[in-house]
Amino acid sequence: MTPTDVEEILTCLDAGQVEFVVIGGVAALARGSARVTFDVDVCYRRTRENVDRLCKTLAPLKPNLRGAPEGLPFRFDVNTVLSGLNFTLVTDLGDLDLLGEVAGLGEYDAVENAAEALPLYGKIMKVLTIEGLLKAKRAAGRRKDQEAIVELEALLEMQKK
Amino acid sequence: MDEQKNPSAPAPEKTAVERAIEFGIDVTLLIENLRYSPTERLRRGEKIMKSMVAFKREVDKAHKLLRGEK
Repeated sequence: MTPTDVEEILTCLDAGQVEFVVIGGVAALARGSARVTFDVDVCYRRTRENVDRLCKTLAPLKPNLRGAPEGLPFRFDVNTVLSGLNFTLVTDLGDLDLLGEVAGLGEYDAVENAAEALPLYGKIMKVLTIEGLLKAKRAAGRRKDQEAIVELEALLEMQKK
Repeated sequence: MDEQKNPSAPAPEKTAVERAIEFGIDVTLLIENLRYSPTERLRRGEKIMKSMVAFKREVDKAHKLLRGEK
């Protein structure tokens, strides 16, 4: 398992002018969560132009499908991304999940509306708010998210005080 | 006169922080995290993640040794 380089992945996407919103565990961490995450999750805008930027930016990182059998052909290009939606990838910088839509929120525009800009690594990046994270976690309805939901509710309350 | 407590009155609703404590969440970690900037929170989280991955590697190595594998 390669430790994921969160900073490198996010600054790389930002430098490539990819339209994305940081979601999942990294967004929760940025909002104050104490839960450690092992991958980076982002929601990306599904326009051909943005997907093209995404593919060009990630190409040097040799993205491949995580957990896929060795030798399974996978071509990370515009057509592949536009034919699919969500991709769980392994890259030279670690694990990266690309989501075209997020449960409980919807497609990119809705996710972007549930995000706020945060200063990260000297850049300004869109990061899902605690309210947005809660909507997504509740909609996912996974047992494993129960603890994260309780923690996010506490953070939301602390943030409002 | 002392205020009389009504035994049938509903208990006050717990706050989210109280519910988190009851759930077993260490809220002191959250208080601590909120003192840092978002970038610092990510860097701290990443550092922990990297040490956990390194630790897992060591554990895997130890298991291999115990099984007599190289």
